[in-house]
Amino acid sequence: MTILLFLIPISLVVALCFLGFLLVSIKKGQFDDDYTPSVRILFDDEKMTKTNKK
Amino acid sequence: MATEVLEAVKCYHCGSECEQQVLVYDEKSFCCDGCKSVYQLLSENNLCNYYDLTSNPGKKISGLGNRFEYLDDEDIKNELIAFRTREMSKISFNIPDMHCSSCIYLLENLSRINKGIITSTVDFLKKEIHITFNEQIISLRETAELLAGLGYLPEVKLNRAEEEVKKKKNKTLLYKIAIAGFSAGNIMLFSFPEYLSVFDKVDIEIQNFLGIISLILALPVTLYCASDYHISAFKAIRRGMLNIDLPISFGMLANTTKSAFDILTFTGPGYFDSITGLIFFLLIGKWFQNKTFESLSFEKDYKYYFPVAVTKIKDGQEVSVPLKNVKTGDTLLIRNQELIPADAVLLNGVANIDYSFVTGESVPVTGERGTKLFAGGRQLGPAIEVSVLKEVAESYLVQLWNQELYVKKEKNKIKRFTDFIGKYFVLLVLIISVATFVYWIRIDTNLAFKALTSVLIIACPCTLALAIPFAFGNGLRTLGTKGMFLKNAEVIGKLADADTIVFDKTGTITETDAADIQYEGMEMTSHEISLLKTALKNSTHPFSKLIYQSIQGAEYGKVESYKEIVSAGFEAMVENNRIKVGSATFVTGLPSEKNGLTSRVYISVNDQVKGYYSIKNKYREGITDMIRSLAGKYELHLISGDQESEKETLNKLFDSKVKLNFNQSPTDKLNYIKSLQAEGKKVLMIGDGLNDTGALKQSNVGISVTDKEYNFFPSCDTIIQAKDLYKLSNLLKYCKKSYWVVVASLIISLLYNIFAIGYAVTALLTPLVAAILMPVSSIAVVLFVVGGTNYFRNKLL
Repeated sequence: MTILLFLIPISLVVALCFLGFLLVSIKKGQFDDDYTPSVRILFDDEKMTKTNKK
Repeated sequence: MATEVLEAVKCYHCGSECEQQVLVYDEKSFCCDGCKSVYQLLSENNLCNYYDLTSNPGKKISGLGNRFEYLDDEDIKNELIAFRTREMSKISFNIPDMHCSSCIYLLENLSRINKGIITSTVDFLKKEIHITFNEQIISLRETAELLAGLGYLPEVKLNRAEEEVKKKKNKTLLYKIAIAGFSAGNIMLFSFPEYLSVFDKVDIEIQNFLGIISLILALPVTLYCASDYHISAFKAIRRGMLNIDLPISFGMLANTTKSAFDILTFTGPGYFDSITGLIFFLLIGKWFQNKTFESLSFEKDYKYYFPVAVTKIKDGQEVSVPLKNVKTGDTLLIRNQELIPADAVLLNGVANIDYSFVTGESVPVTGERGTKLFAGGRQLGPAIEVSVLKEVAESYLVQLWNQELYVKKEKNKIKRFTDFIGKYFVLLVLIISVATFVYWIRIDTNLAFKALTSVLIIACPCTLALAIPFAFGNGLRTLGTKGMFLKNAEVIGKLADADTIVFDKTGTITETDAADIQYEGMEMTSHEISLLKTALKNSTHPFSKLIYQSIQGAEYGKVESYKEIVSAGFEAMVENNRIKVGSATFVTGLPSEKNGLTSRVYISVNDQVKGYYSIKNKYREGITDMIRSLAGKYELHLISGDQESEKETLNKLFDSKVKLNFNQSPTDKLNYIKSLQAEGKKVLMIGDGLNDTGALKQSNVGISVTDKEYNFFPSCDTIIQAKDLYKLSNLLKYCKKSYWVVVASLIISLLYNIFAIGYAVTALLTPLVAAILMPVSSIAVVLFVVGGTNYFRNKLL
């Protein structure tokens, strides 16, 4: 069972890394707007195909 | 390109019916040049996807008041532009007209229309657009004009600093939730051996080790994540008051101390799992609340209603100056439809000021040179020149706001109930916990601590603190998606309380501008039409306004004399011609013919009867059904500023129980509501917000009906979109049910508290049970209120 004393801190360090990533992503504004990106991704990228029609 | 006139077709751009003309371009029909030119611009730039994503996504372009000259002012630019280098500037605008995915598509592709725009990003829920542009190619003013030209009139707000503070606060809350969630989850995991220790003894070494890790993880949560509660509780104590945050804060601190003590002395595992879990849930509740408020900004900031800049006359030249730079003694030019920003004296021109925004009185006040004009009035008619008496911040309107006249003092039952709980519950819990402690300390110190903390943990009024934000927050969101926007969550309680509904007629149950107007009679010369139009301008009767808008022609300058006879019509002298407008009896001398839904306005020029305008009110769709379904449950009243001409039709349309009142001035409306309230009734007023401002303010809860989203007035609590008005009956029912869900959850949590405290004082409650009960009770309440409100949403809406 003493192996737990070693494994738990390691798992905690891994988890802390993920917490760190989450905090960074909050700071970068990933959670500021949780609606628009869901619409934006559905727009077709038609820039290339239609410009030659001009 | 061909332009021709066709039968009523829908505009390809904005979807409204083409009433006056149909412009055909590229095999598509448009209702006006504005819509057509937007289409042209988009098709030239290959942005026609705009029309594929949603049909008729555009907004009709109204050429009114899109003045952006002030954006050339360096002071204003510096204030607005967040980041500025030679080739890159960043600006954010609010765009209230943003409403569908097509809007997002177009607004994010602005760079294809103008090369000066580098990127544009939309935040749909906040209705914001963030634009990065190159000032060498396109100026700030041109950017704003580009948006306005596309039908997205940008709103410029000068309180960028405040917005940034708000944003920062929001982010801080997210950090706190992240940390609290992380710690709570991990600590719960580390507590598993403890939970299972009933079956299997835990290795003491591992338990102590896990305890210390929990302590390290929990400290940031109780100290940083819950800091808002501690600060609020501390402030309450300093003011000698009790609030609902106090026992939460006190319980958390007491438990933290006790748990830390237990862990450090290796006497027990502590309760960090339940404390961190509690904080996590409380913070989520808060976030939920914030999120709902974000999408509806009901800011009661006077700056919001005022223009950003005004036109100042300096050495005979018109200059645009920021509002805050307006000094006493400045001469300002106020154009048609512009607000008077500060108290002023009229210098030039004829003032015709509409103060409905301030006083609720819709009849414009006229004034000659030397008249004192108050801030908040809106000039109707030709431009005037005024001299400023007071600076913006001192003016009348600002004082009104600072007096918090718009805050309705009366609290609803739920609010009173929670305030009561906040005060007495806290006190009671503190007394019980101390009494328990004193009782047990004589027997066993350890048991005494155990009992004290159990009482504090278990009695946390967190269930009370959670129920209301979750239930009403959910309600707010649900109603928002159904076209009804509430000022705050408390309004749900007020809506549920109401027992009497007062309707305004014009603009509320009838459509504002959509009356059918037809002229019948002799053809009038353009001279006569101009005479008529000039005369009509003076009358404030809704019919006069409608006719005025419907006829086209030039206007003459001045009306020589004007006499209005109430309930009959008016007589005016224009260019030495006598114009009479009004009822049949008044104009022709013959008795009027009754003709169902239409009202007739007769016209005579120099005593020669020309004919009449027949005006037919259009009632909003579904209004009859709505009134019928409301009639059983509420006492209904109708107040109208119009004459009784439509009494019979209204009687037919509505139940005979509806009390009809005609010829009511805005003040009458206000007094009518006062008298109903004097009878002890809770009055819900529904008006269109213009001439009903006073009545809306007086009522217990005021709903304003708007054809345009986000067009609101400081005195109403709720906005409902006109097209959703027919749902009112169900919406009100939903409010009532949500209210009962909250009441039920409060009763449940109260019962829970009584039993749990009763059990906890006996010191029989083991930390294990307390730790499990606590989060379970919070989750149960949240699930109950969210599930309950969602159930009624699915059933009713």
